Amino acid sequence: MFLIRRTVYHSLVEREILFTGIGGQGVQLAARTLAEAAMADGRRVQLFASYGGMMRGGNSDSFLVIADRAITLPPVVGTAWAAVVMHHEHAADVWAKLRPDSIAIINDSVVEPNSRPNNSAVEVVEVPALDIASEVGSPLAASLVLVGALVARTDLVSADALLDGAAKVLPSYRSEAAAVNREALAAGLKIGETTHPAWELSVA
Amino acid sequence: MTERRPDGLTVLPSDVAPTDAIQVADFTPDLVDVGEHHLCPGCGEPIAIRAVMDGISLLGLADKCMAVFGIGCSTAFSNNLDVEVLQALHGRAPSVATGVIRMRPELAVFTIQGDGDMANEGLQEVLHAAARGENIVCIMLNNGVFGETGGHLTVTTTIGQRTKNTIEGRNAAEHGHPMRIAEMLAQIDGVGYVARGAVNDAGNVARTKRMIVDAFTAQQQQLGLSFVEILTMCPTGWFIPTDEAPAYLAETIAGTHAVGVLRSELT
Amino acid sequence: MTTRLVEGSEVVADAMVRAGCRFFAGYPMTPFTEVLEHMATALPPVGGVCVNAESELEAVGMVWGAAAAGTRAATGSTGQGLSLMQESIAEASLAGIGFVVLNMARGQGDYFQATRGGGHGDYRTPVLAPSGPVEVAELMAEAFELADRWRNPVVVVGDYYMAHTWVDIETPGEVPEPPPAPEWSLDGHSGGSGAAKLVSPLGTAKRRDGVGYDLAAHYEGCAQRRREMTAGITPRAELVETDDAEVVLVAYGTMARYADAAVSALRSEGHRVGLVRPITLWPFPEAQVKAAADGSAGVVAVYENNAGQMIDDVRLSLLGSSPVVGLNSFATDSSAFGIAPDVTVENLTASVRELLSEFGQDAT
Ligand SMILES: Cc1ncc(C[n+]2csc(CCOP(=O)(O)OP(=O)(O)O)c2C)c(N)n1
Ligand code: SF4
Ligand SMILES: [Mg+2]
Repeated sequence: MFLIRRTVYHSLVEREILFTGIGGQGVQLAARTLAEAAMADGRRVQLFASYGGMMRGGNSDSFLVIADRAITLPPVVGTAWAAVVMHHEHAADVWAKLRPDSIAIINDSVVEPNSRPNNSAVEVVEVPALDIASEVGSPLAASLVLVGALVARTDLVSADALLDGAAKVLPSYRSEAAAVNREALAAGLKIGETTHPAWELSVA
Repeated sequence: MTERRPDGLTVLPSDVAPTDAIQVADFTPDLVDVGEHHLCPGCGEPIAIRAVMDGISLLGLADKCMAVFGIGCSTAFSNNLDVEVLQALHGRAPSVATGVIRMRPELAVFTIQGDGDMANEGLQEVLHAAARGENIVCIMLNNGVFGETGGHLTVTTTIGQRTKNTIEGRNAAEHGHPMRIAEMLAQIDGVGYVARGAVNDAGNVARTKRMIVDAFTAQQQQLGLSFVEILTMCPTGWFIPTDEAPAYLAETIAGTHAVGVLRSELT
Repeated sequence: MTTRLVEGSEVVADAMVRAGCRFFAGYPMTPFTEVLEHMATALPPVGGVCVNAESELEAVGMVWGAAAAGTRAATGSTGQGLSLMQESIAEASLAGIGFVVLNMARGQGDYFQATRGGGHGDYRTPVLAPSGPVEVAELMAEAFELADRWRNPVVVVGDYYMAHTWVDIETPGEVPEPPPAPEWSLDGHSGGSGAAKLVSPLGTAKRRDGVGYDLAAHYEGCAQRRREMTAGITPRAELVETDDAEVVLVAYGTMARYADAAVSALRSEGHRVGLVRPITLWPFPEAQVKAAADGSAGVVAVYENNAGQMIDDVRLSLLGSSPVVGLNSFATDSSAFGIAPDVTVENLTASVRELLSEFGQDAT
């Protein structure tokens, strides 16, 4: 059987967001919270989660694509529009993939000062995420503070959808963390004004 | 030459056919098809399998059961039976039986494996199935050798037993120690019944048949895994004359692998 | 219908349950583990059984039993675990017991294991290779149909990317009922009838018929069934922009998604590049590869995440009619899960540009 297909070339707005950290830092939770929020906004998502067999301490990366139409990109993207960096250990690949017009949200509490984007055109937002998360009552929610900050700077998803995402991604045995996670997101949303609108070019 | 036994019965030498004998009855059980098989004369396995079939007949399970056979000499007997047979690979019968019982829990599912099959190749399978409490009956035909491949040592071969690789008899220093499988299974939570029988004489055959009935009864009562080890003769693999095999079993094997009921949850 | 964010391995599990799978057994190993976890949750509500087997040997044994008892059944693992299962997969083919085996591979190094049969003896298994979670549902139903139709194990190939890619998919409605048990299967009720059934890799003839196990006849019967199966399965491939392509890429599974994106990128720059994506790896879509190459292709480039395995099948398809090159030197990441950081659309595009300058019309 022959299935012959023509590729369709369209000017699709796809937003690629890279997440990196080490196991236990909440990287996957943050990526999924953002993905759920984008879906609630009516957008399409694809999320590739890469972690090294170990639940704690190994690398933990996520490749999230949010788009207005069905996503054709393969799981690992070669270049990206944004990064959420929880730890410097595996950040080199992320820095290398950031396009000049991109934005990087950095966990300033952990990431070493010499670990920064290769390209000086990338907008860098340094967030004392651990301190902020501790203030709202859960240092474990630092990754969500960063996601909140990303949304504050980009309007990538609506604030309501993001806050609602907190409860959606938790398994039933961890549902009691939803309230504090929501606060961590809210605290992140207060970090700054929109500098990098995600969907200005959108032709949805 | 006609001998007289102490009890006065006549014993005919086996190489002389009684010319005036007539067949008065066919004692082949219902579930064993008449027909040739290729097991050796004096082999204990057909006797053991027949005892199993008798037990199934007695309990009326013929159309509610499934036999899962391992690979060994007894495999050659599996298509002589009038019960459903699912052939498993060497060592794998308890898992295969698990797949069956989980989907057809109403059946009397049982395995028939040799000692090489169950205790060498697949020992973990029966232990795990027992611990999972799979509601099946596992039968191990224990002759202490790989009969099928030519009489090689197994993990149950007793000290002093002749096998192809221990032709002067197994000795612990050189060949290691025998494992007692029934004893091992008896202490696992999840078993309903564990016994060891033998087919070296009529008394033991009768006892073994009762064990089989009890094992299937435990299975019908959903008591977990039931296990019956049956000591069988293998004159070919022991490299001894056929008629010496029953006594050899009693003297060389049953000392280590004692016949009896080791555990019963039947009430 | 609601749209949910679902992990690829859950899509795989859901597809199996929808395809009628009611028995699953497995032993954890990345990236197969999550499929097992999802099956453990998905099967009980539909009356199915999932066993966390104590080893891969036991998992495939259980599936042998459940499938022989008339249930649609499946197991799986990644490379190492599948190596342990090979004896049973090979012999199940001789016993005429069909079930589905998932190979959630690490990279594509198990292509030979899947397509040549990693086990012993004269057997083959149909192999299906979905490109990602979205295609799994359709192909899984087909895998179970093939296993039933040919009474043979069927391999479905996935990988870490497929297992770990979350997608937004519509949750379909009610789970359909599985088909009835096939006629040859065992239910325990034929005993005592004088014609009790037998399922065995050694044959099914009974001693009382005067035959017993006639291995020669049985193996000839198996060979005949295999010949019919080979002829009876239509090889499938997706062809993307191949009719005027100067460089024809051949890639399967996740790698095909990179190749597909590279074709789009290069076409939008005006380059004549196409893709053949085999969907059945066995039987291999030889005619499709040949047809694509016989157009204007200067070269056929096989893009796979291994040191070159499918390239053999591509060469056999072409029998020397076009030059064939392998695009397969990637660094793998330290997890050894087959995530090759060099596998990106950008890197592939660069490689294809080099091929165009060597074999394309602009070649000097
Ligand atoms: C995987 C595998 N290894 C080896 C064999 C060869 N083999 C066939 S039967 C057998 C031993 C059988 O011994 P046992 O289970 O004690 O049965 P017996 O012949 O003594 O009745 C062996 C090793 C096989 N069939 N499969
Ligand atoms: S070799 Fe031993 S077990 Fe096998 S048939 Fe002969 S006597 Fe029986
Ligand atoms: Mg034996």
